[in-house]
Amino acid sequence: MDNVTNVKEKLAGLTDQAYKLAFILTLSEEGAEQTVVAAAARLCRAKADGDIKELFFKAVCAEAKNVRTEPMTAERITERFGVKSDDFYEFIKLPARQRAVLHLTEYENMTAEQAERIAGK
Amino acid sequence: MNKIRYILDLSNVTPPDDLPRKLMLLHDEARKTAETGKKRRKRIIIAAAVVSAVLAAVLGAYAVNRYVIPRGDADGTDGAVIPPGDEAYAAFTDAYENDEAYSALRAVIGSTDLTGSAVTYDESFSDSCIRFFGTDDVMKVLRTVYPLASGFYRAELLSSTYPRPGYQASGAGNRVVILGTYMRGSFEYLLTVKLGADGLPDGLDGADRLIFTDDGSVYASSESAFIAVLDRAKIYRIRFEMGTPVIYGCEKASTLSSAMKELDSTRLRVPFTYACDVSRLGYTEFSTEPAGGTRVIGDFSEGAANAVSPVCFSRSLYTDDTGLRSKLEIIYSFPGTEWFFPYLTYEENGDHVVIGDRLTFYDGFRLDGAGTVNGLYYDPMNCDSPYLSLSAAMPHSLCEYRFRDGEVGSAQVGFDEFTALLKKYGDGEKKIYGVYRIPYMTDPDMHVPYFDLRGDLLPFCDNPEALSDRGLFEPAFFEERGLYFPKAYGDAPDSTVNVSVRFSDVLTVGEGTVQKETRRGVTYTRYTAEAYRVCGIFVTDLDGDVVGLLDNGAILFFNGQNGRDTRLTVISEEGEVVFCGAHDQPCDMNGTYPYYNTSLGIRAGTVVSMMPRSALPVSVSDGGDGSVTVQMTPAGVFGGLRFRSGVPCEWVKYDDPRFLGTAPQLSPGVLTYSKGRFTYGTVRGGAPLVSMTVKRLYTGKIEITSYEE
Repeated sequence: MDNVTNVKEKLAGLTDQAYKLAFILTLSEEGAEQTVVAAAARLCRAKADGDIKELFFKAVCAEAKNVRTEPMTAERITERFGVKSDDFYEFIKLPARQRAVLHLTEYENMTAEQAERIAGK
Repeated sequence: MNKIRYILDLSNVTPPDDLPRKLMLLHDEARKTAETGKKRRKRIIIAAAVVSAVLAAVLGAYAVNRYVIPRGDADGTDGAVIPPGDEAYAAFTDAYENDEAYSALRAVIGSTDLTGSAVTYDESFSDSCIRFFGTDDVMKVLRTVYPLASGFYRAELLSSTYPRPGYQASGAGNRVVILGTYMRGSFEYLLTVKLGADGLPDGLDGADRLIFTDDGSVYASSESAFIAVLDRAKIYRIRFEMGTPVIYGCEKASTLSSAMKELDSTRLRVPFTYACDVSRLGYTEFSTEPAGGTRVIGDFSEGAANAVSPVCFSRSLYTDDTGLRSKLEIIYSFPGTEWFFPYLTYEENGDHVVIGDRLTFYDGFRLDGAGTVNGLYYDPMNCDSPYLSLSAAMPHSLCEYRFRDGEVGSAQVGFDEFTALLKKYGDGEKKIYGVYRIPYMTDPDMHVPYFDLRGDLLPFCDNPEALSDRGLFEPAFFEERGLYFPKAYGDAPDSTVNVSVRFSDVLTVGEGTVQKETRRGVTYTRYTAEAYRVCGIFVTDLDGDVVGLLDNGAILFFNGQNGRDTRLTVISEEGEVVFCGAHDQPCDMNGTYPYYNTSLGIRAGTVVSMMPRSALPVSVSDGGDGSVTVQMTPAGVFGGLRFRSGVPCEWVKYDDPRFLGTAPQLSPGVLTYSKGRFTYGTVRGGAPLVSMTVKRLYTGKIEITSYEE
C-alpha cells in the first residue's frame, strides 16, 4: 500500500476530530478547513510512519500557524454555534498552543506529555 | 475544565459537508503527483496550501545565481530573442524593484502565504498551457508560451501594451519578486513568486532553470522548470487604500481564470496593512482604526444597514467580462421618488462639487424593466460599495451639484465631460459613495410631490468622501424629520435598542446596536440595525433580499427559501412579532409561500391588523418561566397568542374571525398549530371571562396549563 492510500484510509475517520482541533487552534471555520486540508496534504507528501492520528494532529497544529484568517469573536461563535458554557468563552481566550493541549487532553483523552508533544513549540 | 461541558460545547462544531470531498480530491491528486513524480523526478507538484510552508523553510541566505542557456537550443519558433552563441543569464526581474510601497507588500507576501486553490498538473503539459493561456480572461498575466527546441519553452510576460518589468542583472534569493502587473479599475494584479535562497522558486534544482531576459520574457530550461514556476506563482489582487496596499485576494496563477469565477474562492479578504512590522499581523491586532495599525476592510452592507433607502441590491449574480458581480437593482421606490448616486466628489475654486446620477424611479433612461440601473454594479466580494462601470453605462447626462457657503447650485454634465473629470479627479471605475436621497416633499397647496434641491444631500454611508460635517446618523437627524430612532424596547438589554425608523415610505425595524466610533478625531454615534426594511409593500433584509410583504399594516415574513423552511412570521407594523409558526406547505422554488392556505387561515393580502396596545382589553402577567397568564374581558373580543421573539408573552385583541373556530370554545389541554385554529374564549359580555395560563412547549405546541371562568 502506497503512502497516499495509507494516509487516505487512516485519515478518513479522523476528519471530524482534526477539524475540531483545527477550529480550536484557529477559531475560524475557514481557517480550520484550510488547516485540515493542508495537514492532510502534508501527510500525503511525507512518509507517514507511526501513529497516524498523532502525525495528523501534529500536522494540524503546525499548519494552523500558517492560517491568517481572522478568528471568530466570542459573539460570532455564539451567533454561529449557539451559546456555549462560560468555561468555553474563557477557554478561547487562552493562547493557541494552550488551547490545543487542553483540547487534546480533555477531548482526545491524551496524556499531558502526548498533548504537549503534538502541540509542538 | 469540565470535560463533559467542553465536549458538549464542541458538539456542533463540525467540518463542512464538502471537506471529505476536498480531502478525497487531495488524496487523488497526491497519488497522481506521486505517480507522475516517478517519471519526472524534477517536477515537484504541490498543493497551494503547502507552498507557504515549503517556501518559508527555504528562506535563508541571499545568493546570486547565473544560469546559461545551452547553446543552440534556443532557436525559437517566434523569432528567438537569444541568437545561438549568445549567453543569457537568469535574472528574476521585479516590476517594482525600487518602490517602497511594493517593497512592504513583498515583505508581507514573503512572510505570509495566502492559501489559494490547490493545483496539480495531472494533464499533459500542453493542456496545462491551454488551461492557463488559452483564455481571453483579462487577468491573464502571461500572454503566451512558445515551445522552443529540445523541450524548451518561452513564456512571454504580458503584452507590449502593459508595463513590463525592467531587467535586473543580479539574481537574488530570499525574496518575493513581482514578475508582472496588470491594472483593472482600481485593482492591481501582481504575478509574484517567492524565491528560495538559491534565487529560484522553491522546488527547482540546478537542472530546472528559468531564464529571464531584458525584454520581459522568461525562458524555462525544461518543461518541469516551466511548470514549477507556474506552480509557485501567485497572483495577488490588491488595491491601494489610504496609501497602503490591501490584499483582496490571492490565487494560484494557473487557476486564476477558473477560480475567479467561483464565488467561494474569491472570499479571501485580508485585513491588514503593510506599513507596520509584519509581526503585528497577529490575530489580536485587528482594529478598525485605519491609521498606524491594522485595519478592517469595511463591507458595504454595513453602510447599507444605515442607509434608509429603498435601494436594494440584487443578489442575482451577473456575469460579464469582469467576472461575477451584481447589478444594482432598485426593487421598489415610491413612484416619482428621486435618487442621487454620487460618483465623483472634488474641490474646485472653493466649491465642493458632487457629480452623479439623479434617477427617478421608472426612469426609462437608465433603468431597465427589472429596475436595474445600467452600469451600476455591486460586487461585495471585491469592493465595499457599489460602483459605476463606465464601459457598461449608457452615455447620458449627469447632475452636478456645487456647494458653497450653504448654497447649492446644480447643472448638467455631459458623459464625456464626466469621464474627463474622472480621469482628472477620479480613479477609473467609480465607487458610489453611499446612497443619497434628496428630501421628498409634498407641497401643501399643489398637493404634488416635489424635491427640494436646496435640501441636504444626506450621506448614508461612512465613506470619508461622503461624510458630512455632522458625521453619521444621530438621533437628531431623525427627530428633525419626524422619525423615530431609537425606540426604547421594553425589557431589551441596555446595549440593545429597538430601531424603528420611518422615512417616507421606508421603515427599518429590528434590533440594533449603538456604538461610539471615532473617525478623523471626531466621535460619532453609530446605530446599526440588524433588522429588516420595509420598502413600499416589500420587506427586505438589510442585504436587500425580499423576505416578506407588507399588507394591511402587518408584515408577512417568508422565512427560509426553496421549500426548506416552512415557518411564517407575522410582524406588526410596530415591529413586534405577532405570529411565528408553521406553515401547512413549503414555499415554492422562488421562496414564496402559498400562504393563502396556512393553518391560521391567513390568506394572501389579508394580514390581520393589530389593535393599538392601549386598546387591549386584557391583562397579562408573565410567569417568568415562559408562561403567561391572560385575562380576557369584553364581549366581542377574541384573544390570540402574541409572540415576541418567538415566545408567547401576551395576548392581544383582534377581532378577525379567521383566527377563530366557528364555534369558539375553551378547550383545556394541548393545542397545536397544525390543528388549525385556536379555539378558546366563549364570548360573553361584561366582566372578565377567562383567566388562563398558557405555556409554549419546545415541541411548538401551546399548552393551557390552567384556566378559570
